[in-house]
Amino acid sequence: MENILEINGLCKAYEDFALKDINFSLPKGFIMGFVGENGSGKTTTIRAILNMARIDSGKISVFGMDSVKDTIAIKERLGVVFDSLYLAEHLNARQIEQQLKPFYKGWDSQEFFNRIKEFDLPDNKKIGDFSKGMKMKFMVAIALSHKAELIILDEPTSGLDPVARDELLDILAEYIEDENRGVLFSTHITADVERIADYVTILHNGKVWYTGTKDELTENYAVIKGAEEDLPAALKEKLIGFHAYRNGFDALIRTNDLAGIPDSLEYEKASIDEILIYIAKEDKYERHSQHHAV
Amino acid sequence: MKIVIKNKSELPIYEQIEQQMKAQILDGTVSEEEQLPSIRQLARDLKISVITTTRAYNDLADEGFIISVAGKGYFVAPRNNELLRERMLYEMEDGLEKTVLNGRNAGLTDAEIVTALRKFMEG
Amino acid sequence: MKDILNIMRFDFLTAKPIAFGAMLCTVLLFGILSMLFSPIIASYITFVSMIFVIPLQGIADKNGFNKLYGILPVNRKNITRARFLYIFLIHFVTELLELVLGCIARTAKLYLLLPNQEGATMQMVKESFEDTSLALEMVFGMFIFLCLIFSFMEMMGQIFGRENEFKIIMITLGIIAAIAFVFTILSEHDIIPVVKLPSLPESVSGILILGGVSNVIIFGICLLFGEITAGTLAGREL
Repeated sequence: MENILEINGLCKAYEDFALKDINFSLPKGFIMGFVGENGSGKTTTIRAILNMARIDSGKISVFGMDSVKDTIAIKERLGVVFDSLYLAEHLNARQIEQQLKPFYKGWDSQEFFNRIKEFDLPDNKKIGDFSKGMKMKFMVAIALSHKAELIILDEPTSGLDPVARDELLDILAEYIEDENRGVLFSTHITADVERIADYVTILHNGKVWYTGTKDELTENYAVIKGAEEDLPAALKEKLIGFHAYRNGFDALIRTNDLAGIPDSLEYEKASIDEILIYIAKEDKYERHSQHHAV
Repeated sequence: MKIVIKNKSELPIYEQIEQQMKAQILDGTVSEEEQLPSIRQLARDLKISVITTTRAYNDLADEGFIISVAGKGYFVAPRNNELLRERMLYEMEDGLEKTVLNGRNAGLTDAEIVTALRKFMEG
Repeated sequence: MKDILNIMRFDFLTAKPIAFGAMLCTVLLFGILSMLFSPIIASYITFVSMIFVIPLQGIADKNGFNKLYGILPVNRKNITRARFLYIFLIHFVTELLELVLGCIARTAKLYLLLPNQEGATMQMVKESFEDTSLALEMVFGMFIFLCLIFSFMEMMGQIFGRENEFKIIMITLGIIAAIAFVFTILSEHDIIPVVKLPSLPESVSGILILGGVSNVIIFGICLLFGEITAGTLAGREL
């Protein structure tokens, strides 16, 4: 399967934060959810893909081209939706269309105005007066107007109401009907990717915690609950984000480790949200125990 | 073809699709050789991932409920399809087994059960 | 090259809705005043460049154009270069406009419509219409002065940050003043020979040639500033 986006061994260090050996790839024709808590490195990774952040080592290819060397050719075919608008807010949609048109060989004005209409965006109103959801749709309309084959969304749904979020998912579901396209969707609202994403990459503290199909992720992890005294010590070792409270415990567990657990323990499949929460807890727990060891 | 996805269901989405498609193929709601929506269309309509619909279609094709025609898409398997026929026979036997068991539990003789079945078939 | 033109067009379209009205008013006001009282007044139209250049910087910062620069299929250095060419072009166009308006004012002789043609003030007005050299010197002078200031400010603002721009301008002026002061002291005490500035040519054609040469030099300076800025920014992340 041909990869539309491929990241190999990406490293990037800042004073207070570093991306460490990021590896993942998105095959053509699919949607990847890019999740992780705030500050896990999602935006830095996206900035590296766009050549806005210089990479220390590693290689990123988009459409099979090098993200540094071929950045202009890549951007011709790339659409980006940020969490905030990146255009002059005192202009209206018509004026913005005039501004952007000459930059893209593949720009299609007809498509632009069709999309604007379809998304219920007025073309004579200042884009600064658009609601957050309208701004997001406006950025998507721009991406579609130059026939972007890969759309990268950086936290597009933060601060959006449920209706606007649902509209975006509709648009993306329609977009990906063409199997030559791809979507990389960064978000911390995992309900958004839970349904439509084919692949999921979880970043945690600047490292890839998981990358692969969403189904495999949700099938391989479960939330286990019960009384702590029923929990064998060998099993406790394997738990992720172990959390004890007065009447029992809960934790994340790999479904492989579920074989032979005592009947008194309950388990159910884990949502991406729960997986993220337990990863974060595991982190705290580790730091906590290290602290004690010192 | 009517498919309803329940997000809160314990069943994975691909299994929900498979079950509902099977039921509609078996009870004839969907006629034989009818074309099904493409994998990507279905994913779009249900707002679910392409991998999920691919998995459902692959499973259904493996079990003989639907067939993939290269370059054209997916179709409901014809009734004379060996696999589908086998599947239907299995469903029938399964139902008969239950019928017989229920009849015996109710204290009917085998002859009475056969009579009841004949009556039922004559409508 | 196409990149640069596209970005210049982009900058112009960004400033246009804000600047257009103010520009029209300025041109009309100074145009009419120059027709009536003195062709020299036309040279003030150069200040139009302010309303086409200054708002751009605020708009770019406020609306996160850095993100836009990150996604447009354009060479990053060209984005920076374009801004300096834009500044030059705006000043150049206003300069041409002033020359045209000045010519019209001289031939139209609208001052003849003013009352009290024999008064002392009227004498001054009439004289100013005779002095072509002064009017031309004003036009070229304003062009050189404002275009240099704006392209220099753009360079400093982009390299050191807008918030430090004012400080840097003050420091630069201080340095220039200090150097001038030292030179004056030194030459007064005959430590270095007195530098005599060459005087401006007397003839109109001489001034026109000098103006043309200064345009070319300023164009070169804008390119140079653009190159320095683009080179410096290329080492930074967006």
